[in-house]
Amino acid sequence: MATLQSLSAEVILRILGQAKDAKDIVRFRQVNKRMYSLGHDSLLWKELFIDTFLTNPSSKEEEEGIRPSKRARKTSHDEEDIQTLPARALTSLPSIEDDNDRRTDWHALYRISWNWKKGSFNIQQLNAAMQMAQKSNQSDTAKSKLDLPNTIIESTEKYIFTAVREPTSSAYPEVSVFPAQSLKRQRETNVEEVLQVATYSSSSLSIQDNASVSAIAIDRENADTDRIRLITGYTNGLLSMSTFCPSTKVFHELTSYRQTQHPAIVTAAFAWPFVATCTIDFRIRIYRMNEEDSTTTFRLLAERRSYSCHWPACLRLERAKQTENTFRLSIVYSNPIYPSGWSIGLQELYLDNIGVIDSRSASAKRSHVVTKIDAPSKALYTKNSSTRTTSIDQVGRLTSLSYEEPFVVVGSRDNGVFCFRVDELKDDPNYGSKALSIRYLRTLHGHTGSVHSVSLNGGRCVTGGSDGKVQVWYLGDEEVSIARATGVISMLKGRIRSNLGKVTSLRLSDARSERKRGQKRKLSDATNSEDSSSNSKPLTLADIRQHHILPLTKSPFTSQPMHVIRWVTSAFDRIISVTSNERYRQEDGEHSAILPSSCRAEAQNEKQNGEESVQIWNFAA
Amino acid sequence: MVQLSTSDNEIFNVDRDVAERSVLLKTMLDDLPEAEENPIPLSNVSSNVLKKVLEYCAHHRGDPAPPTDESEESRKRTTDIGDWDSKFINVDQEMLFEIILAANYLDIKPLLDVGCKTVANMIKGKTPEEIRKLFNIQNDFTQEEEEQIKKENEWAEDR
Repeated sequence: MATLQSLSAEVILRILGQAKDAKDIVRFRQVNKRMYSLGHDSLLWKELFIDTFLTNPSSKEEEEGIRPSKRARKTSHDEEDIQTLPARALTSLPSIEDDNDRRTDWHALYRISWNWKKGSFNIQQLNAAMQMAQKSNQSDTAKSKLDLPNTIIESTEKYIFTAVREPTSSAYPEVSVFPAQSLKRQRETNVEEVLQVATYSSSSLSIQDNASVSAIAIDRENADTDRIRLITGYTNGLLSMSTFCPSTKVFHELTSYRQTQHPAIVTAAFAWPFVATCTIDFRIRIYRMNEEDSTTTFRLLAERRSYSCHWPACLRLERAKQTENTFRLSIVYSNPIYPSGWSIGLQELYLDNIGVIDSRSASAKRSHVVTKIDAPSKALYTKNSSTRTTSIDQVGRLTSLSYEEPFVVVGSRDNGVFCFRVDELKDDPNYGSKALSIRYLRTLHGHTGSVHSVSLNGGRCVTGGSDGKVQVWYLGDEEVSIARATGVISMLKGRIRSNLGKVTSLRLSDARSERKRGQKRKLSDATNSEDSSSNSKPLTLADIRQHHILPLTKSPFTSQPMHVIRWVTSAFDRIISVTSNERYRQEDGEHSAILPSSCRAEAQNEKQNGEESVQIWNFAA
Repeated sequence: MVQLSTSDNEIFNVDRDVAERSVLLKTMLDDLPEAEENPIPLSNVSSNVLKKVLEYCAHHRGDPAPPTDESEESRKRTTDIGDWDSKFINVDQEMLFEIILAANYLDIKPLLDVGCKTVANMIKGKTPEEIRKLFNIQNDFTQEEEEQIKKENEWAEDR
């Protein structure tokens, strides 16, 4: 008798291949052992992955007749074809053509991508004890001038390195290491606390120095082998290079270098053997590390000074694509234009063993009045508000900037995230064959407070701000989706405090909001009563917060101070965020907590203002 | 005319173009000219199943040859089945799987796809327990294993 069981593996895989939904395949796997192993087939998940994540969603909808075809839209607006931007650039994506590549776990890749798409994650918090910083008396530090968070973070795939900018209670400024990977594989309702595994403080510092860490940088290219190379910059101008050995959890200081009469380093970039540092007044120093007879030394290669750069800025050092031993240092900076505008610029320096061998630069055009040539997003504006002709000249102060080829994103105080694109001009006789151009693409709307931090990594753009939301953006799509990882952080710290480190009432259920288009479709589905069986009530953005945190038990603060996302980054399928519990950040940089009077005294006693904590949002769980 | 002999020794006379819907028979007939004189034994297929399969082949005798490019074909997933096909495949479960087995053996891709799509549609939206019940499959996981697997696969469920 013929049954499902009697079919060959090939035929069953063919059946699963026809089931377009990952959910169906996953459920089918749970039927019995044979189906379980069959349902793990790499090719099956590869096809599903390509279908779900790499097929242009708009073209799918065109087929289904939901949206007018690309051509139909093209004739109606002279809009630039944004869809040709790489859809969801995944830098580590294995080659799709290579059918013989059995090493890739497409199942895991699908699962992780799915988690990102849905905004479901596991959350961890770094042990808060080390993050306590004393209130600074120095008001002219780089930190207060640039409004930087107190916590500095760098990460590799398996470890997170943190340091505190302002003097801690310890006399020696430390760099701490935390394991980045969650011990729990499944999503849990409790927030897991992560304990540090090692600390490092430079042996070249004495107690008289009264210095603190001002920047750390990791050599990412060679990270997570037998040793991780780390550069630490201090407020007194000291630079130290050390290695961290993951197997023994021990740091070794290799060398240090004291820059005299030199303001503190604000940011540094490291790609062995090159190190680049930048001070608050844009003195950029480039070092090359010499390694001879097991001694390592810093050698100053070049020094540059810029008077036209302004913060926020971003330093990026990586191996140049064209040649083997050349490295490229990219400095992307903002540039005020009086009276009230701003622009961004990019300078690239090409480095080899001798020094800077080549350089090129570009800046964005100042004017962004919508014209036919300079308006990729005209359609968006005219759709939403016909009176809005320009957005970029009328913005508030910029807060952060991040660059990863080919995009530059800039966050500003007035809730906007601006997206630019860097291109190499081809064969333009006016500029030479390799000139760069930066053009404004569009503004990403979605934050309801000042955007404090933007981060671009692996094609994912993550932003965080004073509204307590972390948002994930895919820059490849025409209609950029506002992702679903929002809301949780706003309550996190309060819960931990009230439960003495054990959070029981915080439930990290998935956000179920989808991009607006998706919501519309869901609505129509519901009227067809096809999909409405599973509580698929369409959610508006405002619903997400309530939906996320269920149920909330009574907390000591009846009115929780909002947690502000001070800094955020994404790497290796996780987001790392620095949050602080201040309510509002005012223009002059003063912190003032708006709390009910009963809580205010308590808050002041506990020196809560600006107290920071670090969370890891793990999407690979 | 081609003669086909089933596992229960029944002989079917079919037109060559109908038989050639099956890639297996087509190759046989192309390579062995004498196959036309003698009945081709199909020892894996019973007469009632072959009758059904030939009904499909006769209805689709005029269809253009299916695309040979496997990857192109499989990329285009659609769970839609044509009107005639869905009526045709509306059979009991045993016959459905017999048809799938026969289509796989005779190498009739479009029929195999119709069968697979039908099974895929049956699975759609069902819980593991419902699938087990539907296809009469024994659950060979222990309770702990089942818990573990359920947790492992939680990510795909919308909650």
